[in-house]
Amino acid sequence: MHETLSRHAGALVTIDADLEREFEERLRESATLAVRVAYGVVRNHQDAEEIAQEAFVRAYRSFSSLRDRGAFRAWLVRLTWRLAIDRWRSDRRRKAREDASDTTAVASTAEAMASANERARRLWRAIDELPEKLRQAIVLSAIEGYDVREVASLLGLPEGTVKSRLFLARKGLAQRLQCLVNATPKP
Amino acid sequence: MSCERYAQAIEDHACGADLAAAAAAHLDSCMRCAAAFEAQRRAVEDLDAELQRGVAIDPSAAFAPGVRAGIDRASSAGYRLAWLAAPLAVGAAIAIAVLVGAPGDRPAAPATPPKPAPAPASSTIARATPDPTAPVPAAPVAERVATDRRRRSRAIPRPAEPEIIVPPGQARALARYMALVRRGTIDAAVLIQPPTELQAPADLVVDPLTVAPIGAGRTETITPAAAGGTQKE
Repeated sequence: MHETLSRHAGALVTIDADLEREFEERLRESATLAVRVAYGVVRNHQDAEEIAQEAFVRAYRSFSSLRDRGAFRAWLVRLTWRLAIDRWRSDRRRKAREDASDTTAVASTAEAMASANERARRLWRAIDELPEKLRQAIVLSAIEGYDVREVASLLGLPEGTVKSRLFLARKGLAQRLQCLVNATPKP
Repeated sequence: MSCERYAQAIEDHACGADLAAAAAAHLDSCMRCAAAFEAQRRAVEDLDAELQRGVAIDPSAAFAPGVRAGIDRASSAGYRLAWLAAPLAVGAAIAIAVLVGAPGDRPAAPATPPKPAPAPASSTIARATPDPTAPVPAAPVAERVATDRRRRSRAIPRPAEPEIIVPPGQARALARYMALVRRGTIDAAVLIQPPTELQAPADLVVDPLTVAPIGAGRTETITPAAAGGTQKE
């Protein structure tokens, strides 16, 4: 890595040896987080890795101002989320165009979906329908083991705000999935 | 009845909201609501767990090499841009030099005159010193007249640092005077030369007043000294 990075010393993107070491460390410890954040949006492993890689490349360019671990993770999560949302939206538009023009694709997609886990499919569809802030809160919470403090740190928000968003997200999901209807007592 | 009242609060509590004291007391005392809350809490936990499982993926072995390759590509692109930027800069410099012209080929273009300030209540002019650098036109008379008219039709030049404030009429007269001085029509030195020797006024000489007599053959002369009231017969 050092050799690779040093080969371009003097180019527009230049990082000294210490920064390279720190970047390697951040890459090791935050790769999973970035891939999971992207996967939480696009739900395709390959796409998620591509998005996370793009986020790390951009982070490398600005790494001199992101040396602090907390700042780097927060910056990486927000950037990855933004890249993933952009990809997800463009894919959704493309898929809508394909669905409108190709009926055979609909049939094959329906077969594939039938073989998938129905519950997970319904859950992710409900997540997609949430407002973006709530969606971000619930996905990051799932990634971070529902640690409100950690999510607040990543999003740069007060813990109360994250807790409130998490509640609204759960409530929205529960209503969409109707998983609380049968549990409500009938006096 | 109280179960319905607290149902919503209990459901919200299952989703993570805080529970009010009254609702908590009801939940503690009502077995049916407690069972419902437990079912809701499990449903939400299942939801969370499902979501947690859904995002529990790890990056592949190709992830880190992919990041390095991306950094390499970005750096190479930076190199290409840098190599492209140098010829572009040289080309731009040559183009500017061609447009402007070489410094020794012709006199430098005069600087764009500053935009005149908004006209104040009274016009302002600069010190009335002729500009020695002002070119004296050697054009034919017709051209000079036309230039003169154009100059007159222009607004009165207003210097950036006014030193004398004069009424607008005087300002116009002074501007016209300056224009004449610049053209060499009049010599400014004439106005500041001392005047020629003045002649003292002569003493006033009053001739005696002669009054013709009303009657024939008699003349009466009144001198200034006698005009005080004495009259000779």
